[in-house]
Amino acid sequence: MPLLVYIVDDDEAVRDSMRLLLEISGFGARAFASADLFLNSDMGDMGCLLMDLHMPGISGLELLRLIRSRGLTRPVIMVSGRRDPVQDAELRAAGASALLAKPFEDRQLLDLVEKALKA
Amino acid sequence: MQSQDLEVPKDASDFGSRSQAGLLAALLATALDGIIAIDPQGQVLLYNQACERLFGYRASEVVGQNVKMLMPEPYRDEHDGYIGNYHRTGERRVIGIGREVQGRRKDGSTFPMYLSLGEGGLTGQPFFVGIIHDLSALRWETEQREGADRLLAQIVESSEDAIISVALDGTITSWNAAAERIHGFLASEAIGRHISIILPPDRIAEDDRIMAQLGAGRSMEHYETVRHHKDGHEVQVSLSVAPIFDASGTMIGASKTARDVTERKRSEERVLGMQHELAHVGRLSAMGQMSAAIAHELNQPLTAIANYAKAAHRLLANEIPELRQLQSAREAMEKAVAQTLRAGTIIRSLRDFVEKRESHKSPEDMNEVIREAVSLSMVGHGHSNVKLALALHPALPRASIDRVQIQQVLLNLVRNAIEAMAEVEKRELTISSGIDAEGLCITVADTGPGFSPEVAARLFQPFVTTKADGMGIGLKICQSIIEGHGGTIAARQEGPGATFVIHLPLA
Repeated sequence: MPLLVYIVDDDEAVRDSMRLLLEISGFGARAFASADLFLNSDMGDMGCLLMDLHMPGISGLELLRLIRSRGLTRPVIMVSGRRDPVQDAELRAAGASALLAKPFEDRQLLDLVEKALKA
Repeated sequence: MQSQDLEVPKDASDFGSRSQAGLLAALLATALDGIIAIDPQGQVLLYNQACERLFGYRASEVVGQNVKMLMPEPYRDEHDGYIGNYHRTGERRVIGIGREVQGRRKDGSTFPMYLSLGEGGLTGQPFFVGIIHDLSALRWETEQREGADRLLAQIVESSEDAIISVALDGTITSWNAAAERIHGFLASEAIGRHISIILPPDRIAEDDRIMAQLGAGRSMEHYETVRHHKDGHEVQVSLSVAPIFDASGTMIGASKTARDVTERKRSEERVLGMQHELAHVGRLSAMGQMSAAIAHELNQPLTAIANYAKAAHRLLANEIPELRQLQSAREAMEKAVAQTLRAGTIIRSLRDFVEKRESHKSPEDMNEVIREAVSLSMVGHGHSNVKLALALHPALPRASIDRVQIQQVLLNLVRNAIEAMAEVEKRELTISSGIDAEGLCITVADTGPGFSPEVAARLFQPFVTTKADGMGIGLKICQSIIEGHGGTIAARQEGPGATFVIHLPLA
């Protein structure tokens, strides 16, 4: 049973296009439109998490801290619109394994996911 | 001669028949004015009922006494002298005529009276008749009226408001102290002249209209208008005008009460100006927030487009793709197209935000606009140690501009300049205004690092920026505003820093 890439992004087009790109590149993916939907899933087959930083309600950083506090150790790739050194440092400290700025090259995404699933 | 009360003396044969004597007795008794007769020594021969009311003495107390008891000092003592004088010189003085004198009542109080004095003869002896008309009621009324007039005059004089009256032809008939202060003309200079001395030329028709309205029975209150000061400056006034009628009810003029509201107007304008500035700053920061929101919003469709396009590309990578892959690729392309439309909508909303506001052009003093924009842009930059120099043309013609929009441009340029100089030692900002062949010219020059030729070439394209966190849309907006005014904006590398030159057409 291969591990899946979990995607959490409130933007339907971004979520759907990432899943499509991952699936046709041979990765299994599961997409969630909100932090709540993701937190209510079983996460048993989660290989890594691809998460948008800017979402309504709980922020990506808070969600990251929450899942780390629950003992989830799988790699988390944070996707954000804007890179900011202070924010990057905070995300790293909170346990993000990689940071990806939108928009991105498909190769960047696929490489990060491949690496994360092997971890 | 011992006359009792009003009985006519029996030996007054000169008075005629008994019936006439009866008539005369009734006349003396009913006369409202006091009637007194005295002999040449001043002894009272006759003292009628009216005198009893006037002086408070009964006839029995007066008849046979010297008349001077009815006079206050100093006349009392001088009276003998008057009579003696008359007897010696025949100089009549008061006799045969009348005059106003003081009477003295029994209680010692005095009252004004009009005394007419006639001389007659009775059985060879001269005598004098005095008719006494009490003036106290009349005097009291006059005093009351004069007091009221004085009070009104004092109220008018002490009023903070200019109170002016004019005749129907506009001749000034009164002018109070406040009118002197507000309009600069002394009452002596204003009264008798035409009201137009305080009317700006363009308000003369307005004044005529007001007078016509008054004639039609309508007064006017708190009408805000402009009047002139003697030295030519304008005075903002709140004017109330009411008709003045004569006793027969005919309008003979108008009273005009003008309150100087220049100060109030100024403070209103200041408040308005501040609201304007706040709206201005708010708008700029809204633009900043809008930029950030748009950057985020645009990233979403751009990310999806890139993903869908790449996915399609991968699906079509095989030399002979499977039907399922072809269908999937087609779907991905359609989704990518949908996302480009979404991006277009976002861009349009930005454009709407920038351009939606209708421009309100009016003739403005450009130097004033520059000064305001500069002081506004220094808000929050007081600590930046920028040396500011304004080189403003002293006689700039007015330009027809949208003040808010142009200030937005200036604000943007000044803030850019201040930010650009943050890292350099020499921080000098020079803003100048002038006129050249292309029209009205405004330059904003800094001593910052300037920009490279490649940036200079693309400076007014959107999303070009040298700032780490800038969106690069400010100059694009500036350009569209200036072009909306029929002007141009250009960047020059002159001297050490950047210089922006704005040209606007002359009105």
